[in-house]
Amino acid sequence: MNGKGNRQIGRRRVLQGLAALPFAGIARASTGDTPLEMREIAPGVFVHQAPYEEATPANRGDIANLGFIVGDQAAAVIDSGGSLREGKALLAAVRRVTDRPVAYVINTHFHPDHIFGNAAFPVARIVGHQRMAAALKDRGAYYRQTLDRDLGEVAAGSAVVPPDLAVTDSLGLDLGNRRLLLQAWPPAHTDCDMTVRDERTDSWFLGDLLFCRRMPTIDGSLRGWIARLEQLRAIPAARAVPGHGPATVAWPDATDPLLRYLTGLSDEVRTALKNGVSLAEATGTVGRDLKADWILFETVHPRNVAVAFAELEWE
Amino acid sequence: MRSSKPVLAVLTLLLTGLTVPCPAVAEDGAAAEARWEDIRSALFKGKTLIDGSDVLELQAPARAVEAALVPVGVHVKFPQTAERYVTSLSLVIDENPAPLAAVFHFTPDSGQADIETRLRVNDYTYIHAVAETNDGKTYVVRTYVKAAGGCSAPMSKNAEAEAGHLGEMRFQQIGAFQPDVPNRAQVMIRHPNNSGMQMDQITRLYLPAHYVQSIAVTLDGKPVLAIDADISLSEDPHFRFFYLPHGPATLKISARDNLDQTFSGSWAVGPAGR
Ligand SMILES: [Zn+2]
Repeated sequence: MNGKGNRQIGRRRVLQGLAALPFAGIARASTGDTPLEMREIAPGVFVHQAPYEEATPANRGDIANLGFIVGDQAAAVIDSGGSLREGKALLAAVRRVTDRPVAYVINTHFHPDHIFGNAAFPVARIVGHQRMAAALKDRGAYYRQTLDRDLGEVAAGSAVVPPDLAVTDSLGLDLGNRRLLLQAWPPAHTDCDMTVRDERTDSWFLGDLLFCRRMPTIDGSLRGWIARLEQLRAIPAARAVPGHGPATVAWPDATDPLLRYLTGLSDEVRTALKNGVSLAEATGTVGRDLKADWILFETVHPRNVAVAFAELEWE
Repeated sequence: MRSSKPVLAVLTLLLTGLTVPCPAVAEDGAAAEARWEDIRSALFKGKTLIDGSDVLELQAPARAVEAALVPVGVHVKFPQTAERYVTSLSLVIDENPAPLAAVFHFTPDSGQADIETRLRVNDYTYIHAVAETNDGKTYVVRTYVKAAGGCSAPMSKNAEAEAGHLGEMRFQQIGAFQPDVPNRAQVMIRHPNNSGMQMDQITRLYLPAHYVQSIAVTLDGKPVLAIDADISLSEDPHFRFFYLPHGPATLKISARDNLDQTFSGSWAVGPAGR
């Protein structure tokens, strides 16, 4: 918490001021955007389940699960979507449920499908892993350019908005009688992974540390990801929310297929390396038997092999 | 046996004045031919480029799975002998901001002038391999690769974890050691090989380039391979090459980056268990 704790207190003062706002019942202010479809997976915990797709103009970048949690004084959004338009639709979904301010937008990591809605929440604190601002410095321009290529005009207005509240190890956020526990982890899916636990309902947002059904992408450390999943599995939770997959899944059983894929991949890449197989050969031949029922396997798997290869060849 | 570094720098300057290519342009045949014509006249001025399909084979994926890590290989269809050998091999990625990725210099002691490496590919592009032989002939082959963002998108590795390993080298013999025939080997060097093309969104400044510029491989002191490299090599530069040993020997690799940091390693090569 260290230095960040002070800023946290500042925010809490703001929230106390907001506590006097009347709770507006069912009639909510409309933002004019069509609200994103949400499911209340536990009292006050809402999740949007994204399709298992790649970003296209038709889905406006809506390919990652998003959520929000409502406390007595404020709401927090967990991942903001793949475009400003999706972020606005998420805000509209929040407004259907509550008039309380969105005090925080928590980014579970820096991938485009999780951050390009940040700009829809101009007054919220953007919360991310302590390395995330630096990661976006390196990648932001490329992500923004790629968004134009993938979404065309639908990308308009989307901007890279980096975190202004950094999580070094863990951080508690108080939404008013509702505490969220944010935990920042070492490199796994990316080098900026963060999880969010709603302590009231014991619901655990894993971000992209958990993929179900849709093929996982490796952008951090394969070894780190396996180690992290093994550590996290030992921590109980009433339910989990994957970054990609159903809105809610059983914990820790839902990690089984992902762990099978990641350990299978690392085993097979290690064998290939031992046999002197080149990267060019490996991408087309390694881990073909790991397909199982993963969606987008052909699109994603060869790149995972390449990335795993580049990591494990230094062991 | 090394051509001077300024050649690469000059070419970069020449070509940054050209319009920034995009996939649509690259797929336009006429634009791609014009681009190559610019590069060819800058790089191989006064040389007649012979169709090299009978002597060279260029291996690259038609579509890259990771643009920052595109495996590219060149196979030469004849062995290196004192009578006939490849003196240099240039890899050109036409649409990259610095198109000349690397120049490999060989000797008869290379045994075989094949090379495999990993490149950053910034756009849909032709890749050209140009080989010069000791009889003064210049051969060219090309292939088309679909990839995007290899120069401007950083690789996924954790920079903090990598920093402590700068310049670390790994050498691996591929297949069993055999005297008097070309042996295949692999070398990897831990280096960010920053392209200098990743922009800081906030300052609008580019992150400084930091890349390996030259690599020399010797066998008992005799040159086997020398490489002039540029920003198009992937992070942690990686090469597979041949050397021709006549018995147990010491293989030495030395490298230098653009900040004048030097790295080296040496390995005893010979029959297993020696
Ligand atoms: Zn992700």
